[in-house]
Amino acid sequence: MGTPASSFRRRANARGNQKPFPIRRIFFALLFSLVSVVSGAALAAESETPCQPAASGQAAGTAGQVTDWPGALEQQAHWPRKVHLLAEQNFDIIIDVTKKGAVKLPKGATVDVLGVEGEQLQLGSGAATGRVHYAATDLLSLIVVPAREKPEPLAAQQAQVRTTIASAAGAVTDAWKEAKTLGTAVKSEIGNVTGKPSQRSTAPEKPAAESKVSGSAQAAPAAPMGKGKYAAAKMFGENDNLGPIAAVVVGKNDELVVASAGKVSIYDPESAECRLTFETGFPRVATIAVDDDSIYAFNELTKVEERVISGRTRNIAIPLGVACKVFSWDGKEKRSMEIKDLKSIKTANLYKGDLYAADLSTQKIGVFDPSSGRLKSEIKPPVRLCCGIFHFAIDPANSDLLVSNLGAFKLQRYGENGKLKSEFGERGPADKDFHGCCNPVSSALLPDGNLVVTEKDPSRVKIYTKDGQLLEDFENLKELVAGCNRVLVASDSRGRIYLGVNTGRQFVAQYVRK
Amino acid sequence: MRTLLHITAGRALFAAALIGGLAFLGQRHASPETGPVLRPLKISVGVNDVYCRQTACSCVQDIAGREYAEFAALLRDRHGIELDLRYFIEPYDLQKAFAAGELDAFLCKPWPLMSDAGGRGKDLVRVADLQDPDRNPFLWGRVIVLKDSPLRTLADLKGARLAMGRPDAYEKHQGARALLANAGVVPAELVEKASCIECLDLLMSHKVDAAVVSNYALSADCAVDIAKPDDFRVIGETAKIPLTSFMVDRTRMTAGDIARLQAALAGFSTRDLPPSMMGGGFVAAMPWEAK
Repeated sequence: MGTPASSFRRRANARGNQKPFPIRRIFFALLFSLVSVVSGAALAAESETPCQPAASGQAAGTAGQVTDWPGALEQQAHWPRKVHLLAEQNFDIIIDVTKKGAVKLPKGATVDVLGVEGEQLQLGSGAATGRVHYAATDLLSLIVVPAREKPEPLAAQQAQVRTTIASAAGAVTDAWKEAKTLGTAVKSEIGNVTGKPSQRSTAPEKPAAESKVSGSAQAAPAAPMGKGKYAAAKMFGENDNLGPIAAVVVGKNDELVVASAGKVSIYDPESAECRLTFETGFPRVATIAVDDDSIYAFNELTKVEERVISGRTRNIAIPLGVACKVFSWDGKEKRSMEIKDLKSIKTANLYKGDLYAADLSTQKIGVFDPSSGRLKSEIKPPVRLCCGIFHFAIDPANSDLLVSNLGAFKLQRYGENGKLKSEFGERGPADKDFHGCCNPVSSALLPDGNLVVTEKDPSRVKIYTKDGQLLEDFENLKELVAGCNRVLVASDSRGRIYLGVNTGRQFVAQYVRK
Repeated sequence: MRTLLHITAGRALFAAALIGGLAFLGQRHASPETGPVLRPLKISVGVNDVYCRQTACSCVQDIAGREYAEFAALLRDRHGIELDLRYFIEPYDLQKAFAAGELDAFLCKPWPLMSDAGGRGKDLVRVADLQDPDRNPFLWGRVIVLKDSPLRTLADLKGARLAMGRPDAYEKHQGARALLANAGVVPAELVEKASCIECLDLLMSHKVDAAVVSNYALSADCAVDIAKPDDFRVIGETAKIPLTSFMVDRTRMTAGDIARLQAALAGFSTRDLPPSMMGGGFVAAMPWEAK
């Protein structure tokens, strides 16, 4: 028995009766390991390369993978029986029968699927047969290969693909921050020019005689109105904890009247300061209407019923009627009444001594005596209303009613007799078109006769001529409302536009031409 | 002693190299779920889903109330795949985002992206389809008439006025045209409107005799506010195509990542789907035009 060291030495000597461990072995070992590493890395790298046709076929669902899907057992995936080439696509199915000839199938042709082989479909049309790569059948872009030839790698095709459409969704700037900055700047400017009316006399203001309401010596100094595009200017009620805004209207002296929750607030259009806030006594104001003497606040009377809809129990507010309170401009309640011929009220307008009100329940616009609430006349435009929205504006030039027929994607102009005079709009991708599930949702008249028209989801505000020609699309507009809600819009005698913002903190944004 | 050191060093080098090589191979073949390390995978996903609460009209949220947040959390926790969900209320905006190459993946109708979007359709791979709450994965068009209409069959559309979708829609236009062609019917007038609700408006206003609408139009669309299914009769149906697909832009994701995503989605079939996904579940990408 020797020591472990001697034993080890013996084994070494036994093996190495030959030569000592050659440096060559280290080289081969390193070479082997290098090959292993490289091969492993190559295989790993393969999975990191952009998809090739075979991989995409796998990803789109090969037969083996399909059967492994638990959810697919009942919806057993299967190959299409036919491949149909639809019209107006940018590709053709070309079946190469041989390398010499190809059959270019006409658009609209239907090709039988004769079988499946690996990742390829066997197709047939009349006498012509060929194969098509499976991945493409799902992708609508059929990659056609001659029999027994591999498809052209998609990577090569991708190299030829050039996207020409530039990014449409640029960085969205926060218009409200901009508005705040601008508002502050304008405010300080106004502060500086107070007592220097000559600096404002050059502004392109409208003459007082053109104002919608009689002029008043109390009117605050007006900021100049440019002729450029509309841009955010001031914010109203940002720090007033307004709550959900129900209505935004412009009253005498262009004062802004905002109904939110159960209260009404009146703002100076120049300073954006709140002159007066008063509680209406209603838990929630549905809408308001104003004239030179009064502010009318409306509340919908409802009862809540449980209804099962699509298997779920929901509380539904059933409209029963409309209550109205009339306030003076200093917030004192003058009287109240119930308007019996209204079940609900979504929009109200005081015009030429009459009260116009839109009732969603009956889909009618009624004309009422504002002193008694008595129904004088009504029209029932053939509108397709949804989302609980029924808005109209009145054109003071001719007393036409501009109805937002959002289900039909139209803004429609009705005469006083309820007859459709004109309409414009449709759903579509163009700027002039209306987007979303149903739009437009509201409109307002500008002093020059043009229209400001709003859309929800996503929010858009656009200026149209009265015959529907798009003039301007507001840029960098934040979401004004979420979901099925009307965008609150109003304009004053100088063309300033007010938009109610009901997302996040509620306030009213003023837009002016820069 | 020097020889001994050579032997030991050589063996050690050999073993280390072998282990290193096998480790790479193992990495290649290991399944994402069972592998020792789950590489985080973040995917930006554009969503415009008929049944998604964030993209559907609020007035149909009784049925279109699907929310992806809970599902996305499970996908992240179980598979290390994080979805950066970006909701597009307007499908036209999603098309623009795809055409501009701004997103890795999409949960939406496959047709609008694959058939247009600046010719980038072939860059998309459908890794899975998502069924609707009734476990239907398909989308198709229905040719409808008013209940009291004298039109009974597709053949009756000959010489009639028909409202249908625009050419960028499959079920409301392309499929409908194929249906009419197969039936040998040529209507007297075709009016194209982008939305089902506009087509319904024309039909209900008697400006057309029939209309082609999506199969879900009267149950999961704003049209529920203006019409009821009982007001109409169906006289024809187009071929079916997938309704909602989970698609990836293969120019932005590797084959390995696509396969990993697909395997992960397979785990969210009907049986294992959070209730907030409103039934349905993912299934393998359905073939086009399967009946």
